[in-house]
Amino acid sequence: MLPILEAVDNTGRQVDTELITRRGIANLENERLGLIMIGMTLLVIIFITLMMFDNRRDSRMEFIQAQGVSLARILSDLPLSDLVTESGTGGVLRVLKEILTTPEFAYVAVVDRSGAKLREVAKSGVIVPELRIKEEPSSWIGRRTIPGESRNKNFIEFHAPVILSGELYGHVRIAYFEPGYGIDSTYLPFVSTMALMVFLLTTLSYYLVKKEIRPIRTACTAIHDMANRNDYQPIDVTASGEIGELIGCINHYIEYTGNRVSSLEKSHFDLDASAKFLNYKRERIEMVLQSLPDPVVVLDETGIVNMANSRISNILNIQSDDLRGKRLIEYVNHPAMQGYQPRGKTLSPANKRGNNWSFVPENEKNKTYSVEAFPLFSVKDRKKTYGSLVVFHDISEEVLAKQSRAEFVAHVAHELKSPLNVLTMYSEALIGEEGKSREFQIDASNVIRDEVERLASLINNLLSLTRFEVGGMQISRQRVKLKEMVEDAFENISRNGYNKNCEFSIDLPNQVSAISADKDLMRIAINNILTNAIKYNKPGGKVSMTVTEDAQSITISIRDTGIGISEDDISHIYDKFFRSESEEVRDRPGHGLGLPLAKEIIELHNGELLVESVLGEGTEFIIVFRKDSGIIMEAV
Amino acid sequence: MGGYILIADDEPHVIRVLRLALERDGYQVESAPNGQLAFEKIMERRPDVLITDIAMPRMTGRELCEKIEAEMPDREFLIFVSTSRTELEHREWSRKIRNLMFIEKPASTRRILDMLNDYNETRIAADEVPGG
Repeated sequence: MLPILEAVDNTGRQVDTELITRRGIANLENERLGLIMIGMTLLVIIFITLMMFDNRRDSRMEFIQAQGVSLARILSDLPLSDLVTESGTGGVLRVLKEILTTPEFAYVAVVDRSGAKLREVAKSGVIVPELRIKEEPSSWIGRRTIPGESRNKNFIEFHAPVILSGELYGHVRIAYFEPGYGIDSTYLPFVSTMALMVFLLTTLSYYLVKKEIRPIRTACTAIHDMANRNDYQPIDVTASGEIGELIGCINHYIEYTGNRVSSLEKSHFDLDASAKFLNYKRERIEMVLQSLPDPVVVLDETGIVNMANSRISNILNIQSDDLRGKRLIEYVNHPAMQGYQPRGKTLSPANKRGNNWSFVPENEKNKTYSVEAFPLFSVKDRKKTYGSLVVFHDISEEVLAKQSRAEFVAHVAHELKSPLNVLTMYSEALIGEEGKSREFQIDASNVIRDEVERLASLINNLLSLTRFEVGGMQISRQRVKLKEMVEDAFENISRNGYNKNCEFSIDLPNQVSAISADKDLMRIAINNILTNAIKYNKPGGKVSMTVTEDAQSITISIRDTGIGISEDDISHIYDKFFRSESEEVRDRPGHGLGLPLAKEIIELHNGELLVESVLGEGTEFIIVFRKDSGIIMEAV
Repeated sequence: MGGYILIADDEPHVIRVLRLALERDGYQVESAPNGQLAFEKIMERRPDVLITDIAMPRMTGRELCEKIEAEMPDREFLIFVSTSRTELEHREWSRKIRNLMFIEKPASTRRILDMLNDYNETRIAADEVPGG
């Protein structure tokens, strides 16, 4: 509807701009019509006049023909002596000239067989041409046209034989000027009267016609004005008869058109408003679709893409606009798409809904998306659907979290149950045959103690780590004499006898600033690093601890001459449960939680844990507390 | 009784106690600290029973079992898999491997010996029936 109405508007505007031009053209055409009528009238008059002259000429020709033939025969029958008088006076020929009133008469002559003129009578100024007539009997009687001399008219000559004593003696020739189209003054009054009458009649007709069509012209102007003003009022023109009826019909049509236009304008306005509203709603829906964080596709009943947001290009190798009109299954070969049949047969919405599949994009193998298809139910009829909405939701992190949770649980189970396994076996062995041996009893007791310690340490580390992870770790800061705490931890470890083959050394300044820290946590961190330095040392290796303090920071270094850490492993040492594949590491008990926990604790105190290691030569862990981090409680 | 038993475990304490108990019951015992070495030993000499842990360096118990299944289709010996988790959790991969039993940790040495005895008795009975 809208384009039609616009066209009407356009037409209206065209009327506005061209109206004056059109009227001018109409007036000019009227004037031209008058001129054409005058011109036509003149042409008619000329034509009639020409016809008349032509008619006259024809009748003169017929007359000349009849008279010429008759006179030639009559003169042919006369005795030669009557034609050619010896006295040389007149004779019949002169008499004939005198009595002939025919204006076209030119000459009459008697010639001998050789064409020599024996006697001639001609109009003044006319010279009888000497032309021989053939002697064959078929040519004796005849008519011929003889060209006039220079500007003279042609002659139409009739001839007949002069017989003397039964033999051809000569010929009688009688000639007329050929009738022309020249104006004959006798006709002028008639022609003038006729022309005047025709002209007057035409003018009268023109005036009458103009008078009769004047209401139509007025109506036409009124209609143009109406179109210009874009209103639909009846035209005020009085006319009688058929023109009056026509005006009535036009007024009736104008009234109908006015009503129709009003109704269309109203519909147009309503349509325009609803189109704008719909467009706004559509834009809003597209905007919502585009701003959704997940890739979303709207399918029709057959699985063809109607709409897709730009995020779809992240997971399918196609732009959203290019995807439109294509079947989604060609790009997502996935069970979620299987319900759509090419010929419009679809699964019932109940089958489509609620199912959730995972999808790994071709170009992003490390990502996992859940794919859910929601039927788009009709608002009015819930049994009817208009296709479906397919939502791809990035669940990569959930999948990874689930995997790492499963791995974590598996690790914990292993790390907890392995010491329990050893404990169970040794306790059984102790009450069995082996238990009777004193040596086995001592060994078993040591193993049981080590395993219990391992278990306790594991549980403590696990609890601490878990509390860190859930954010429930409350650190209880207090004034900690760092020097004493480090010394104490070092003494404990080195005296422990865990690794009797190691050589221990500690280098502490006379005084170290006191720090604000959670003493228990800090001890766990230092203990874990020291324990590793001993555990991963070589027989007869060294463990040295150095504390230094300058204006900017306090540094605690724990260095060993152990097996070292490979380049591949060093980036994983803070991963929970990470244990190197190296046999040297595997030979030593451990659960891969010590270093992650130490790092967490040190970072919680705004410190930094650094590591330097050379495989086969040893490792150095350095704890750095910058003084501007606020950890210094009491400077030296 | 008798028989050759291979223990694959990265816990030396476990190997020590098991070895003591098994050897006392008349078994010949060999051990390997990981799956890879265990497989090499199997290739050298097939055991009557393999007792393997799951979590081991280099080659896990699962990988060892799968390798044995793939490379020794005529394998007859029993495999005991010692696991910190439940048998149910290993169901998916273990159903493809014949003649395999799980021992959930903490495992009792006594129970392992009983299971071995039961297995040996069943096997002897099975061997005797066809022979008449």
